[in-house]
Amino acid sequence: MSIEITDDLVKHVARLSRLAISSDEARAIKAHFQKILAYISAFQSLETREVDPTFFSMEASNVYREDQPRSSLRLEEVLKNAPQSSGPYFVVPRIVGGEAESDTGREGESA
Amino acid sequence: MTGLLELRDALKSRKLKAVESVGEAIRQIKQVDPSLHAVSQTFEEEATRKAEEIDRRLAKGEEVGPLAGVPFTAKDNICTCWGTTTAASRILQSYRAPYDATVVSRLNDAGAICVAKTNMDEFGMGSSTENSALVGPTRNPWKTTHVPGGSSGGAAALAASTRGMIHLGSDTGGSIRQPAAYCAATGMKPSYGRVSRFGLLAFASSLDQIGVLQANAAECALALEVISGRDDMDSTSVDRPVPSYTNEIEGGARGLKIGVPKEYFPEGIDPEVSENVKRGIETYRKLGAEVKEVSLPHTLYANPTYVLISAAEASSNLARYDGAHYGYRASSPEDLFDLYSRSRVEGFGPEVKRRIMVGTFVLSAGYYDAFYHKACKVRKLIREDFEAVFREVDVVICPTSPVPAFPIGEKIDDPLKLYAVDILTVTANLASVPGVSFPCGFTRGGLPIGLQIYGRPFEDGTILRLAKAFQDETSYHLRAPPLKAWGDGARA
Repeated sequence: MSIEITDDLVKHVARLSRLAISSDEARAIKAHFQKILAYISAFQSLETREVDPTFFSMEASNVYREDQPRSSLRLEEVLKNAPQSSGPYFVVPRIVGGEAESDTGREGESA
Repeated sequence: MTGLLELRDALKSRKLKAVESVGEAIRQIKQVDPSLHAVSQTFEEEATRKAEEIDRRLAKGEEVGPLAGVPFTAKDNICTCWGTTTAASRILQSYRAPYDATVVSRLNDAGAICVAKTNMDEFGMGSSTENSALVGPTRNPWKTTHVPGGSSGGAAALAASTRGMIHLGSDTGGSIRQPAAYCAATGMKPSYGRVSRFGLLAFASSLDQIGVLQANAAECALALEVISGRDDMDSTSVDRPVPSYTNEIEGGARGLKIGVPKEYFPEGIDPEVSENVKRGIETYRKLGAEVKEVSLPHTLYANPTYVLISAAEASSNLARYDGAHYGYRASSPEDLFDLYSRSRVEGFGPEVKRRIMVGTFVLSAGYYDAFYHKACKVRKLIREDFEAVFREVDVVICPTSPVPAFPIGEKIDDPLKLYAVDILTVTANLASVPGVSFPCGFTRGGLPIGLQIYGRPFEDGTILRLAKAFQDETSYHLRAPPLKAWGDGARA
């Protein structure tokens, strides 16, 4: 399929990727997208209608285990890498309510 | 003291103490690292303390393990309780893993001691170790103006310039085998599922595999024996018995059937690479192997398929770096979206951002079928190529990389040029077969050339056996680079 890489498409993908790229970065990514799409389109002409896709390259089967309690990390271990924490909690900006209600990304656009 | 096996024997017979073994490893690293930048951190204090404890236990007659006192390094995307685990990314610059990766625990349980973390391309995305956001480029001990390959470039540079250690690397599209080729190390990517990836920072989960970079095949067998096997913490690790690879590597090449795929000597391959690999294949004929030409017809499509699938999986795996729970957080975020988007844009390097965006794009609505789904079908065809060839022959032999090590800076500004050096290694990951690379010659300019062997899934011992047969016959793996941590003499 031939796809035109527009500024809007790059902006859209950056948003889906949660990357606040600058306009310089957007220009560079746009050029990269054009090249990479040409490259990965190499197999577009290959006939694959009858082929079952391989998502995982082994005979994967579901793995079950007994639902048994086991020890987990201590709270201080879990929080030691947190950028910001308070007592037993991670601290993040306000998510619901007030003016700061933000777009946390229910866009439903990724497949 | 020379190689890993001699070191292990000296420790076992108590001729050498664990503190001496660790001291020597640290000394070697300190000697070469100012020129190579192969290491992101060393654990002199912690390692010495642990070595003293092991020596005390040995003195009391306790059983410590088959690798008691053996030093090892871990690539910086493998979690260790000691120090930081950064994947060479700013986003994890100060991340301290609260647990050891299973491979690290298994080595610890065997009595081995972690002495350093090695440099890499950020999150494993690169083929030159120039993409490290924290350490900067690693240099090749054969020629310090050149790259060591990547992404396990730090491990490869150390495997070539030091002796008597185990080096853990990871391989998503060639990241163990290609740097092994560029540094004249023996690099082993085991079959998918052979080694647990619990504690490996994920890049592309259907392709990632942990392995080792060593001086020779016998060292790889020893290390692989310890790190392999089913792990309840990684459901993709396979419940099959781990054979004694150190026994399986004996037996030589006689009677084995070797396929040489014609597609693996593509147009544009460096003539010196092609010439040396073909001479290596002749060596196998002399050793009594049966050599025939085979075809893997979908090879041409492998790298585009890899670029697409690995980017797609990376975009999903790296979504966890959100600035909320751990890792880098942008200052004074306005809201949650701003927290995510600015933490990520400031924390990730340019190549990681490119791949996340390409991956997000090929998975997004409207493009999924044409790109991602199609690539998964092509992957199936590539896998079927291997299944067919492995009904005819036991292994496949080819060059590891179409070119030898290149100068630092030569390809870094053109991602597609850099991706092109992976064309002969990505197929092993797409088809989940094991692969090993080892030196089969040198260019006239003195740069190593790697030969690669692919085997059937879970026949890891067979490809190591062939590597050992080659190394019993030749001396390329014994040649020492100009930059090394010992005086005169061969490598191991």
